[in-house]
Amino acid sequence: MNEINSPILAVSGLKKYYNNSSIRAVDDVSFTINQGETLGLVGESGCGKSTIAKLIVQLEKPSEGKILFHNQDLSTLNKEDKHKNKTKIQMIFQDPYSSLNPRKTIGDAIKDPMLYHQICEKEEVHKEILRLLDLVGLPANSMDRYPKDFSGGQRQRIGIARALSLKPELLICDEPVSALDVSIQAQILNLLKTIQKELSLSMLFIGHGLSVVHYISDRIAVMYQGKIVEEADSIALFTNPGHDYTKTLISSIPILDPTLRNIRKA
Amino acid sequence: MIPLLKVEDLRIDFVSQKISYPIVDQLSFQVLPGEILAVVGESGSGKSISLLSLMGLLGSELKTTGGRAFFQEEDLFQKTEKELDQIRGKEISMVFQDALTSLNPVFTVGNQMIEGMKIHMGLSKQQAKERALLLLEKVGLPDPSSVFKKYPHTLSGGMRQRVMIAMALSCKPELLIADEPTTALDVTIQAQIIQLLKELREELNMAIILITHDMGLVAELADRVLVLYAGQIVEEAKVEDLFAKPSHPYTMGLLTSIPQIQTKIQKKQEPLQSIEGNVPDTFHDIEGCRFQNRCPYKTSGCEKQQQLHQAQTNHWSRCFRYDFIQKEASL
Repeated sequence: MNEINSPILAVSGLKKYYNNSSIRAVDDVSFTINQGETLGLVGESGCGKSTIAKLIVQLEKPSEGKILFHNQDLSTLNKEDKHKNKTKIQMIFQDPYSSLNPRKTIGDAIKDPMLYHQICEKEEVHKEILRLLDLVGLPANSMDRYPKDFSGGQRQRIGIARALSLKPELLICDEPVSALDVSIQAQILNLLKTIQKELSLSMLFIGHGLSVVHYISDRIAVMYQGKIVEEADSIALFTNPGHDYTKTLISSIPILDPTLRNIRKA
Repeated sequence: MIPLLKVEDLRIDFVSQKISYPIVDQLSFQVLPGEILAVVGESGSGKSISLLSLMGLLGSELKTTGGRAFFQEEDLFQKTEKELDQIRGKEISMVFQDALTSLNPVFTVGNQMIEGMKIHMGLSKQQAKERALLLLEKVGLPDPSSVFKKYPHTLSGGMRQRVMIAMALSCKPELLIADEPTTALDVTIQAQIIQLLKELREELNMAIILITHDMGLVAELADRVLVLYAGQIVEEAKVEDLFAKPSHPYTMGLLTSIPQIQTKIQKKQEPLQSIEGNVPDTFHDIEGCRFQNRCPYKTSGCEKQQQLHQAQTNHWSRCFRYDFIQKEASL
């Protein structure tokens, strides 16, 4: 939270309509992410949060609106600059099972994008992979193994290592822990938080569980039916929720103390 | 009170031509009429398999190799397929995690709802339809008659889960087994389903076995909890006791690894307490406590096989240092 200067990402008036504007997946959304900051994005499935992620990494084209990365409009860049910028924004996906090629060793899965984007020299690649594996807490011998040899949590670590290999400035995490077991979720959340601090990364963290998003984010934006209905500091959102939908979300969080459940009912 | 379901020393093996090894063992528990029992554990801990085994629904590579299970004092494992058919869907029914793949895509909601009622309750088509509409209304679906005519794919996730619950309730079961009933749903819908299950229990005095890995859901719904790890029960307690005095390091880890909402700036917990390592794929080659390799409190004695110890009245832990763990947890 310390290095907040100009925003690294500024989204304004973003719209994505499908089917001749009959489906408004993202409907006039604006937000900014500052350097080194984590913005959480919560909302239920179908509210458009993953579409926003896809728009930012340019897997989809916006119907309207601007996405400024370092004050540059991504959609107006020429091919070469686009290629350069692609490495700076990286994504971590929800399902670590389907996002790795089953026929590639982990070493290759990490190596190929690095060489393609000329992030490091061929001679250095081996060392760099080892450094990345170590950073995400995987043993060095993971390099020669295949995705099937790893558990869900380990695969998510691989996904993180691969995203980091391109030395990104902004990480888009689309529900990175939703598919993981509870005890593993905490490991991955801790890892993301440490890495974010160490590398002073900026992050957009998408989730549907409020407590997870709260834990990792500095600020939280609440989405409902394609719009951001509330945005606040991650603590203030809970102490002083403004929008009705936010209140519903907060009251839906199961209370972990069973003795309290009767009190809330009253 | 006579237990509705009583399971004694259940053992399930994975059996293939080359190898066989246990995946669940020493599993004993009971469910009272009208009680909500939560079975908690991570994927691979054996929670779903144990319940499927009771219903005679294990896949071909899994075999129930030991133990007994009594439902209303009758031994389920002695029953023929035909007799089980009388119980499944009628006395005991199940709600699965993924409602889309559990509903038949080529039949309307109504069609698949009335089928079970015709078979189990001997209702006529018209009677079954009336009951189906009533049930759809009971589970909170707006406009039941239109839902009745729809195909599963046209409904949202929350609606499908409600249809599943309505179907499961159609023959007035004594016991409902709900396998991760809200995992695939949004938080607001989850809260509605929790409320619905609570109301139905009150109204019908139906017992529920809730299989889940979500401690929040457990806290909201359950009366009693079984914590499973690597195929065995590691802790069993009333829900209040489990949360107030966890007595097994695994339970404690589960509770502390969940992020809590902090409303004071200075109190944002960091880092989260996580359980290191991974759930073992198999445990038959682990000597002694199956959690020892991930346990922060490992000490001499953990290499011995662990029994369930009574930590308090009706509170059992498979850790011989349950006293110490309780104290640690209260810090």
